[in-house]
Amino acid sequence: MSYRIRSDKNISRGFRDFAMSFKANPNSRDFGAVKNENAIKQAVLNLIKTDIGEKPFQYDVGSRVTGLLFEPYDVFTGEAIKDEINSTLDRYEKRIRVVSVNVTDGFDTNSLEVRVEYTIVGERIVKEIDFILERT
Amino acid sequence: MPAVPSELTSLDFFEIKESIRSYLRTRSEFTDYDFEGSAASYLLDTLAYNTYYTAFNANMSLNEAFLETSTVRDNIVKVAKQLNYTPRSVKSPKAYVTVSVQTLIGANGLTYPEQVTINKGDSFSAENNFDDYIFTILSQVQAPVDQSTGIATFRCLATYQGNLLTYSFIVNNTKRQEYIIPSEDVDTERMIVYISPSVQSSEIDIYNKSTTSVDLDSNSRIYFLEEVDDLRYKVIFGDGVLGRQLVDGEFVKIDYVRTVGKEANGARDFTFIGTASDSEGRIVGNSSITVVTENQAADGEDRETPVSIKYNAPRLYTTQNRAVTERDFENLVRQLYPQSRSVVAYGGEKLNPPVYGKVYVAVRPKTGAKLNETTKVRIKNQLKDYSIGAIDPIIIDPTTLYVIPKSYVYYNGNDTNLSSNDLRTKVLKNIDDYNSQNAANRFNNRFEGSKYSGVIDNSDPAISGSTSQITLGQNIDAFQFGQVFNQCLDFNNPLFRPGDYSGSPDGNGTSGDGTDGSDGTCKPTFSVVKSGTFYATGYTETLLNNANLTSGVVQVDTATLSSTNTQTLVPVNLRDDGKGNMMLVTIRDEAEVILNNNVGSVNYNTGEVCVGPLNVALTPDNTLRIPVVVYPSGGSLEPPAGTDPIIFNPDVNPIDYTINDLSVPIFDPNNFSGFNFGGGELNILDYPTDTFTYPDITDCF
Repeated sequence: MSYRIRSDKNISRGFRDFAMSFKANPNSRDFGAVKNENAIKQAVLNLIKTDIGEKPFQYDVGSRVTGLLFEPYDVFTGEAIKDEINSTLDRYEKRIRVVSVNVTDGFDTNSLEVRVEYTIVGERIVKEIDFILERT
Repeated sequence: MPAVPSELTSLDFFEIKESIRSYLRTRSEFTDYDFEGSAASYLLDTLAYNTYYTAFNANMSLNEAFLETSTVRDNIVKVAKQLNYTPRSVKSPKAYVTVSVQTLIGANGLTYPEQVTINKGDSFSAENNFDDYIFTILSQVQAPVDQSTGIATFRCLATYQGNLLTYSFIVNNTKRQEYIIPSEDVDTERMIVYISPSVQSSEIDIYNKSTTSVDLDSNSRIYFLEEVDDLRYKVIFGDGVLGRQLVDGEFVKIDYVRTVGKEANGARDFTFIGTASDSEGRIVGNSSITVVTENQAADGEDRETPVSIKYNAPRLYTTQNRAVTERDFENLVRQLYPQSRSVVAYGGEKLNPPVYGKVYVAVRPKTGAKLNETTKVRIKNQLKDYSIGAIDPIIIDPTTLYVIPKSYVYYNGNDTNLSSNDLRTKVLKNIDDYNSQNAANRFNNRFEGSKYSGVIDNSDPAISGSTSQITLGQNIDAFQFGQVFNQCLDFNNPLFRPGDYSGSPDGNGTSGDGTDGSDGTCKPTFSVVKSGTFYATGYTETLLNNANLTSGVVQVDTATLSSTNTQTLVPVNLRDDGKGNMMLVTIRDEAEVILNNNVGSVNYNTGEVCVGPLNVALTPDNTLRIPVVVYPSGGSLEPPAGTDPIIFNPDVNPIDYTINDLSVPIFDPNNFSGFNFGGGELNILDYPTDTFTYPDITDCF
């Protein structure tokens, strides 16, 4: 017979974050929350869309992706965006390991389609997040 | 963990953010605040930023409420206002010119016009090394025309740098009216306030500035002046109790000069660019006007700096507009004469012999070495308004106490890339800063050798330590060439007594074994008082050639001295004999000759050096001063009353101890020589160095 010993320290409490929309729940009239996978997804998006210097007093948090969107687009810019997403997530999102970043240009829509594949640390399943980057 | 904010006083963004995070840790609703990408983190940023901003604002506003901590000039001025202190405005440089106007024969074809008029506000242009400036005349001047030459001469016409401007108000009692002069570069000393019953009226009253409410009544024609926001000055009139209250409809006209201040000091080469008219109403062409600069522009000052306001306001407040203590006199004179670089006041009772009932105020101006007599009289008269009945203020020129340090600086050459010369420059720069910061307050009345060494030691990390030998100097200056005089210099600090270190205090021999006819004891072999070189009346080459100099040390009989200007005088020096007497010496054939062994005395305990009777024929630079240096025994020196200590001509010798283990003694009488020092800027000898080398006596020891 084997015992599993669980210390308090190792209990995962799960991830729980505010929902960025801050929309009120019609029943409770409270703002919403996102959990676990969705919380991580939201954080990944937040980091990529935050410009360097945007956070007060933390001038190295964020990515240069927003700036790169305003560069003339070619394959090198695409690579730069990929690298930037990779390194940003590597530096500030410790909960995931990035598997791949894929940037597809959408010339017709003036936007870039980005797919980030990652695994959550401690899990094996590769998750993915798709989003569109546009100049705003 | 209780939800109590732990960083209530923090002014650091991250501490505040951490404080909010630590609160969230006590709650279970949200967990992601630790990850930078989370929405919670963004919300925390906003909250912490807001808290930080509020805390910073609160801190700043509170700091600005106190004189000591405020940094914004407007706030400093407001706090100083509570101490009844009005900061000094910019001051326009003043110059004197003589203007000659050549007039033409009048309409009658016989005589020249009677007089020539230059109106107020007419201007001159002048230039200094930086730029051209406009100078203006503040009131209308007239000069009579010399009927033989047709020339009208305006002698010593005072002109002030800047433009003469006018601003006027009509008194309106139905609203709260403020009389603010709309310019920031106003010289308030040159301001004139005119009041007339109406705009058209020719009846004009001039109101005077008042700084006190004493002796004011409801009819006093006065105004008060205050600095308000943005460097503007506000004129405040009486309220009908203290000073006359203005009546509705009265016309206020203020003439003022807008100036660039100190920048225009030194302006010269004046040219008239205004309009002069003769008594027949004709304009005199500028080609007929010649201008001679009598005194180039001086006395211009920038507006008082915030640092100066912070320093002066509380001090002036403590004087309460009365001169009672020595500090009161100093503070008031600083206020009355802002061009003073340092002011030292002391009661006459501190002098030797005491002079009761007088206060001596030594003022050193920022430019030049001495105040002129007119300024002295002006300051004295202004001081009398503040001083107590029987006390007579005397404005004197300060005596400089030269502190002459010779420093040997040990450093580790492996720890620095600086060359020995670079290191010397660095140390000298530090000494210079130390001197300029402390000269104004007399080094807090004590020159501490250890503080000075600290300044040297902290000049560079490679410096391990230093040895400084400090000597003091003053000038003998109470003599006229060719006249016998006596003068005592007070150094106020004990001097080394040579007899305690070499020979014996009463010894009279030179060989130490009695073979020279002495009692077998050696006389002291070094001096602690030495002077620069000068020429003494009567001591001529001929006299010395005729004297018996074979023994090397000869007493010249003073009775045989004859005063003659046709013969060459020998250069002489003063030094003490180690036994309390001053001697007059010269050097002949590389040996010292004592010309007179009693031309004064030295008190080694008090540091008083008396010289005389002595008759000086000439000094090498033709000035009425002979420098005297002494070797004080202590390293902590108290400057004598009435002297201004400055560090003069510091000698810095860096020694790399990794290649040279030279040991420098703290006391070294053989490394002490007299030299000439003057009244120039720090470290600049304004007349030739004429080093007096003292011959070594080798017989004893």
